[in-house]
Amino acid sequence: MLNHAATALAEAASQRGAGSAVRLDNVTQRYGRGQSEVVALDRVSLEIAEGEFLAIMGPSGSGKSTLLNLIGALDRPTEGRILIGDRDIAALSVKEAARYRRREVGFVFQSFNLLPRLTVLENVALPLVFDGIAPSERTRRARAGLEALHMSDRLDHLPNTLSGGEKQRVAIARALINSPRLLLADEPTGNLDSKNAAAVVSLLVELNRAHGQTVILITHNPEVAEAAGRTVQMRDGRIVPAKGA
Amino acid sequence: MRLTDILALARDNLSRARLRTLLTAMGVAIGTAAVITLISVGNGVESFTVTRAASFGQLTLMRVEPSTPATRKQGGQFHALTARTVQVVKGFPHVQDVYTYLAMPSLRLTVGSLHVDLPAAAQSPLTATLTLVGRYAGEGSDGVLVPDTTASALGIRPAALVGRRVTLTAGASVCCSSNSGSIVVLGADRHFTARVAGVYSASSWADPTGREGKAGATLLLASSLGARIDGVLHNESAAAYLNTQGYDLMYVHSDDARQTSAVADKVRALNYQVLDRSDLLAQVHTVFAILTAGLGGIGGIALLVAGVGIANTMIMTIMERTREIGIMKALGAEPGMVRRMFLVETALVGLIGGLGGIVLSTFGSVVGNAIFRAWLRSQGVTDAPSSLSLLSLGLIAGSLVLAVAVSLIAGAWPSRRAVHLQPLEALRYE
Repeated sequence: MLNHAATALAEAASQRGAGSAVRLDNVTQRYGRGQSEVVALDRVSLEIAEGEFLAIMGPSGSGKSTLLNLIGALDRPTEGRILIGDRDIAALSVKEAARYRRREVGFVFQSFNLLPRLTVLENVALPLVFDGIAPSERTRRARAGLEALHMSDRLDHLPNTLSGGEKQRVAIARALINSPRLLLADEPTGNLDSKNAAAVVSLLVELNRAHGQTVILITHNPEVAEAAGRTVQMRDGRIVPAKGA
Repeated sequence: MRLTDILALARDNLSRARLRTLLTAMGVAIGTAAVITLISVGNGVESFTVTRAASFGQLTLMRVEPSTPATRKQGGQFHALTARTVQVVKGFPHVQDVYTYLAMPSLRLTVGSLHVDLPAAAQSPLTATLTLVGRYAGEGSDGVLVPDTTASALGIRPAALVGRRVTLTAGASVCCSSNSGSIVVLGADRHFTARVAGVYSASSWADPTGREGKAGATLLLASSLGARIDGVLHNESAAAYLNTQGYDLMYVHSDDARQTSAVADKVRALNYQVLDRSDLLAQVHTVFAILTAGLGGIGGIALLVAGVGIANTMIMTIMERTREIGIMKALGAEPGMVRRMFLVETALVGLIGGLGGIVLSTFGSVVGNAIFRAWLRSQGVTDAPSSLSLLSLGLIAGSLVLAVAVSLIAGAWPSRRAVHLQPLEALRYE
């Protein structure tokens, strides 16, 4: 199912000595039972290289988000393996999955998902709270992360007082706080105007180019997808060959 | 996840819905106060009853006899109740006073030309439990109390009898009425001079050994006089007699009904036979334990209702925070962490409510006792213990633990929902 471009890129990545960051083997996800059964993913196999910027496109209900949630261990596949390094995260216990999410994954959501009662600084530091990191260390790292995203003047603000673009930058700072192996972004520009969307996209590109951050991004917007190194198209729970690849 | 972070989160969440937290905690406070107040009243009334009953004597009294039936049966050494014993027992804590009884042979009382033969006994204090008729001239070392029936049989008015020198005679010629148990003296008559200290109402006398029947005309001697006569009859001095034969009976009064059984045990340890009514006290205690448990149960129902309130609040809170729980889980919060967050939160509500209940019930107890005291005074009761509600540190600490425990149990069930919530499902929740 892998298209040629992707294979070439994956090969290029492995030649750089990076290897694959994620490998999906025949992953199937079904919801419901009997007549109401829905196949969200149908035997998907996909390999994403270390340091790759992958965009996933496709119509609503094509299985993009399901795929991303499985890679982020927010859900568990019905069948198949999801290898992160040599670990199958489909087989993790609930507790191990939580640890995997807070140490190796950074999530960026369309709806930001900031906690409204916590300040910007506290929101960014939250994953470290679950990891038992000392408050002084948490604050130091969150402050540094926000500074890198030019949010230093908003540390004590509550999320409601921020613009959409600012909220998404806070969410990105939070996703990066644990130096994740994978940055997973589910339509991060979906709720933003074009100017803010462009800023967020260039931020992700910079993270990928300058720091080698592996990014997997879902988008409806072809312009956003263009920024990625590779794009896969999904339809009806399958990856389909991209046009003009 | 650090405990300080869990506590900080719980505090933030509770202060976020301040009114709701306050109302839920108030339920716990009322429940806790009900438990403390009702149990404290149970304890107070028990203490009141025991102290009142103690003032009637039964619960503070113990009867001591020389040696024990067991040692007597085994031919063991006779263990006398000596003057020294009396001193030792008087030195025990919580001993209010000691009464001694000395058996005597029948004596002939000679007043001028008149004489009458009477059963006799010696006791200290001489006037113990007796109702006197007319003047009392003091016990002295040779005082006797004459029953009023004897005085009238002799035809002498009590007033004329008190203070008179009399002669007491012991010997084979002294006839002793129908008392099979009384001491029989053989040999020649011996005469002793004595002084009438007073006249008592014969009906107020009851022989503690039961030997002389329920009541009767008995000549009562001061203890020192009795010992002297018994000594002479045994060819001994009074002191020597008391050291070898000793008193026949001793009554010990404790100053606190709850200490009676402890005092009895100490006397028993001296190898005497001791009878006390601590079984009565135990019965009173059992009755009140049941009563207090019942009262505590009623208070417990109030606390249970508060627990239902907590469960209800927690269900609402968790519904409201579903999305937040989802975000936390997506960011790597483990189920155990989520459980701890919510349990600490409900435990805090229980703690706040419990402390409030303690303040409430302590205040109520102080006010209630003040009103009770005022009422007692208005009823003319001054010697009674004046606490209707009796608080103890154990009761307060126990109730606090109970309040927190009830809150934890009430919070545990709703928090299961949060613990087992799927992160994806929670993130989609609006």
